[in-house]
Amino acid sequence: MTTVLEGLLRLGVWLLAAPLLPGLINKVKAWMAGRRGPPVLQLYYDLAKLWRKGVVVSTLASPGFVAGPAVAWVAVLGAALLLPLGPLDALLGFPGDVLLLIYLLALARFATAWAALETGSAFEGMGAAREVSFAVLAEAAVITAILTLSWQSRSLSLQEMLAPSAGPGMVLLAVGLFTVLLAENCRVPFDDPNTHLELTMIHEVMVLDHSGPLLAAVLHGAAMKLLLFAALLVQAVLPLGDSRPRRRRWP
Amino acid sequence: MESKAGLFPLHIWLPSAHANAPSHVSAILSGVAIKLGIYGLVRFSGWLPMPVGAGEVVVGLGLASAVLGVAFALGQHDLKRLLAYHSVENIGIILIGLGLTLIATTRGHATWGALTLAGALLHVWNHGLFKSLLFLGAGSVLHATGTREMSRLGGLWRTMPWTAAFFALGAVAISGLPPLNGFVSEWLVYLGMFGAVNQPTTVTVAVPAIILLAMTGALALACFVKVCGVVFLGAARSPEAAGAHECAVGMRVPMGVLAAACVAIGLAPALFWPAVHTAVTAWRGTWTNVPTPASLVQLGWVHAALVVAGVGAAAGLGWKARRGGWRRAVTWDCGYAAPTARMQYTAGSFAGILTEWFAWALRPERHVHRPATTFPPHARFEEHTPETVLERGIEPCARGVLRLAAVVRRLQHGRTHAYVLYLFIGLAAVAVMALAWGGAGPRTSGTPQP
Repeated sequence: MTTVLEGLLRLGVWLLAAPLLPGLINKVKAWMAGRRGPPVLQLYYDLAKLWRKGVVVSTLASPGFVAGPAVAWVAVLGAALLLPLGPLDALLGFPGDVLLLIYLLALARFATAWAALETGSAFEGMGAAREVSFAVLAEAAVITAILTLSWQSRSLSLQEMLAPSAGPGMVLLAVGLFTVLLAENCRVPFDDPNTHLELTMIHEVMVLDHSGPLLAAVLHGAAMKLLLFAALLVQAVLPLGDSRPRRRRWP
Repeated sequence: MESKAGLFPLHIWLPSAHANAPSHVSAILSGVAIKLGIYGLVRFSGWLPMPVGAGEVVVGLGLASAVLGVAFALGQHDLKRLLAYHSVENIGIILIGLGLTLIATTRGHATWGALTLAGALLHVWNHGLFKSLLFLGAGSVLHATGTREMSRLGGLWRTMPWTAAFFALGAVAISGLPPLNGFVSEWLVYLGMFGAVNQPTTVTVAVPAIILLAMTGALALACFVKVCGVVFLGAARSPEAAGAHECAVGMRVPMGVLAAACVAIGLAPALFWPAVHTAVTAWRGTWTNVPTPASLVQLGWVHAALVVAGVGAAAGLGWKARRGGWRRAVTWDCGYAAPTARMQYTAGSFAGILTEWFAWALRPERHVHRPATTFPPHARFEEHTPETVLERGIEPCARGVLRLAAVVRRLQHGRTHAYVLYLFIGLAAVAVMALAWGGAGPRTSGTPQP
């Protein structure tokens, strides 16, 4: 019973906390530029507004256009639930869960790129092509970071890998994972979340034709993914986890 | 055996053979027949003494096959040729697992060696299932439109919803994505490889293998997003594609069965473990006490939860979107007025970034006619990836051998007196050699000296 309750609590935290991070980032960016910037809760307002709106769908789009953002959102949420949160265990941890996490993010990429190609436009095709191409390098970088952590902890479950600090290699690992974070979450210098001009056409351009609740799902999923990478980076570098040997909690 | 399996430098026969066969035959050729090569390798490596370094060689060939197979697939414009190159890739993945197992046996590391072998053997099955499914789907497209050229297809989901859905499922499976079977076998191979990383003697092989396998997965994903998007989504690029029709029930049922098998292995991998375990123990009798990886059960649960949540979320989002006001309009895309099918992204453009990275291996043929003056009359750009190993490597060598043979052929002209002359020259040469070197050497045999 407590497991179910804890699971629901975690789900709530991930769902509710995720949109805060882009708000904080935008606020800091605005301060650095000497502006006042949008409210920290702006993304919550946007999501609420989008959720109430209607949808305009391309005449070419199949049902996959709606399923794409939904599957991507579920995949990112699933990946997030696999991640331990500091001293708290993951909701579900088993040897090899880290690979499931990486491939769930790949599933999200597949679904998003699929939905982008539904519209039959050059713009969104370009964005999808860049997304899947850059991901080849990003995935290699992530798996190398995972290799480092796995080799260090002699384990292949996130809970045990993320518990200790990454040791002296911490700086390199942090730089690598941070670069992947930037590339995977449409951040400068790889992309720019504020524009969808030609130079920064990756994530933003893939979702040009999504509107209303579909766009809300895309934006919320993107926020969760950002939070996931941030949490992964922090836990990989700092010894936050509980490294005591633990009992298996799977029934 | 490696040539039969279609391993990288020996794969040259495979793409054309599998692409030009009737599609249901392609399904059997690619799904089943090339596995005979794998069967032979697995069988013989099980009981023959393996030379030192055999495992490393197999892993190296497997890696080359996996990465270059998918790179060549990205460069293809022909739907069935593309699928055939993916067979080269998947054979590579199977051989990575098998090669690591061979290394494990020589080092005596049973725990992870059994996992890589189990992953490789399960991948043999999985590839048979999803590749047959994809070839049947491609056959259905070919039957409905009369073309395999991806640049002439597009928007087929409207007229062929079943084929599109089954092909999409096969695409997710072959890209190694959860919750389907392709992920289960790749995951087992990964588990074994991470075990190899923790042994000081095998870490140097396992680390590059893991990184390249991850890149292969991402490349396969890119390739199948391209295929699905260009063939089934968007607008029809030709009248043939616009006038397509769904295939008959008799063609849909086999696809449905194969798709169901892909889903079953994905959702309940633990049910299939005993079969894999039997195969592993048949390969090496001493590996009998390999336990079921406990996480396999958990993986099955996660996959099931993922399916339920994904279907639920898609249904919920669709319901919400319908209820909140649903309107169809022309693709917006920052202000398109009247988009046409020609304005869509093409297969070649989609793969352009990646084929550029691999241009050193693919050697694409380009025909560029750049726009020149202020009002350019016309401009053209064509790119075509040949079977580079065959056309740039083997064919020039073979032509050289043929030319040499043609020169030698002049000696054989059918005039008998000339042949007698050859005999005489030959005999004279032997006599000279015998006199020059035979006499000078020390006498080792012959009549005893008085």
